[in-house]
Order: sequence, then C-alpha cells, then structure tokens
Amino acid sequence: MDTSDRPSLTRLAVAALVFLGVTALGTFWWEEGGRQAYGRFFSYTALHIYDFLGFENVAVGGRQRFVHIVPFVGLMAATPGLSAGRRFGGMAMGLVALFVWQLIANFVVGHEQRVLVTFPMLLAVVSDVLPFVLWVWFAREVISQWMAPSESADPGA
Amino acid sequence: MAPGSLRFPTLLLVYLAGLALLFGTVLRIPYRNLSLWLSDLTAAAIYGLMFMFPNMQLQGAFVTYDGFTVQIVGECVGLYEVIIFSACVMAYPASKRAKLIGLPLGAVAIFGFNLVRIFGLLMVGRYLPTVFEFSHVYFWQSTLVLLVAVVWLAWIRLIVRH
Repeated sequence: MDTSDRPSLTRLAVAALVFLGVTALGTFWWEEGGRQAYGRFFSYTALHIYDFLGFENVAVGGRQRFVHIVPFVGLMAATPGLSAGRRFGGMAMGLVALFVWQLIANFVVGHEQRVLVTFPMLLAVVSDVLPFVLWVWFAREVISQWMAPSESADPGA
Repeated sequence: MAPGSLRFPTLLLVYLAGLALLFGTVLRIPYRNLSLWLSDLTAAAIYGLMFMFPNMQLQGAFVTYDGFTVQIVGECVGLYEVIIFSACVMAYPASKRAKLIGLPLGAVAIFGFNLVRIFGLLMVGRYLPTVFEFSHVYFWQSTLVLLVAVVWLAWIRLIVRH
C-alpha cells in the first residue's frame, strides 16, 4: 500500500467502514460473553501481578470500561497504509499498554479510592482517551504522512 | 509534522494530561456544574428536536419517548470528546487562526453528532429494545474515538490546509 500520499476520501470512507465493522463485531463479542471471559482473564492475571508487586486484597473484575480494547483494535485494523508489522505489532503493544492501564485503574478503584475523590474524572477520561492516543502513537508514521500541515502553519504552535 | 514524528503524539499527551488535571482539580466544581447543565441542555435539545414525535416527555435530564426513558448523564453530553478534540487541535502544528476557528466549530460538530447518537439510541430503545445494550456500548466507546478522529481530520483537511 502506498503511504507516500494522503489517502483519498474514498480510502478514508472504506477505513471508516472497516472500523465500524470491526468494532461492531468486537462489541457484539463483548456483550455476548466477551466481557465475562476478559474479566476472568483479567482477574486471574491481575491477582498474580498484584501479589508479585506486594499488593494484597485488591478487588479485581472485568469492568465495562475495559471495552476500550475494541475501538483500539478497530482503529489499528482500519488505518490505511500501515505495514503488517506496524499494524499487528502496534496492536499487540497497544493491548499490553491498555492492560497495564487497566491494572492501574482497577487498583485505584479497588484500593486507593482517595485518588478518585481528588481526581474524579481522571480515570474515566484516560480510559476513554487511551485507545485514541495509542493509535496516534503506533500509527504516527502513516498519520503524519497523510496530514502534512499547510505552509502557513506556525511551526512553534 | 515529519514522518514518524514523536512531536504530535507527545504534545497530545501533554495537553490531554493538562486538560484532565485542570478539569479534575482547579475547574472541578465548574466542570461538574457544566456537566449537569449540559445534561439538562442535551435532554432539552433532544426533546426539542423530537417535537414532531408523539408521547415525548422531558423531566430534567430524563427524556421519555413513548414509554422508553433515557437519562442523560455527564458522560453522555460530548464533553470528553470535546476535551480530546481540543487537545488534538492544540497539539497539531497549525496557525493560531486555524485553531481558533477549529475549536468552536469542532465542538459544535461533536455536540451535534452527540444529539444524533442519543436520538438513535432512543429509537433503538423504543423499537428494538433487545439490541439496546449492544447499541449503548457501541455508540459509547467506538463512536467516541471515531467521532474525534473524523472531526479532527476534517479540521485538518478543510481548515488547516486551506
């Protein structure tokens, strides 16, 4: 796939359709047992990690917000012009990053609730924003190529 | 933005962290009040847009269509999307003019799409209640990132590059 040019509107429209399809399938999976399955995986893994780090009695569970893995996979799958290595490597690293964030968020909710009192919207915002930020990070080579700024842009802005 | 540049994603993270901290601490009370006000306003806007539909009711942030009720909470009003979009615009290397035009226009576009999203959910809840939960999750996380990406790309194509 040629990555030297910005994609046409047609390619962007196709990418949007791929995104909607992948996320529809992912959401269907999540609603039809995926949330429970991912919750079991998360609980099992998180408990071992918390134990390893010396944290005890941390409540774990599959939280509804963990569905943010779905739009991240959708964005990485739909981005036109990504090489297979970048696409699937970025997807894997991004999912690990999301899992690490879920460990932190789960720990805060279950163990350090005073953080929620001080920063009530922080966990929600980060959880919702993270898929987008990770996509921008892992697809930056392609994104930067098809979004060159105008000549009048202020480079210091 | 040079190919593979770390500048934009790094600045995006910095602006997002700054905005989240700002709204979570100094502006916490105004943010909460703004969320509550926007919840009521969004519910009223949905009610107003659906004036031609029978059996519509509005009570604060609750909208009922023909027996199906939704509550518009702070997370449903599009503020998160606007915060993310604002960080994207601020982090992107464009002129100040393009940013000043893009921020309010993008916010209006996001709030407008959000009304369409809630209208769609009301219709699904009323006529296809069995798929409401799926739709609610789908039109929450997935459309959130798509909406921000589309409005941001549109800003770059239509305003920054003109």
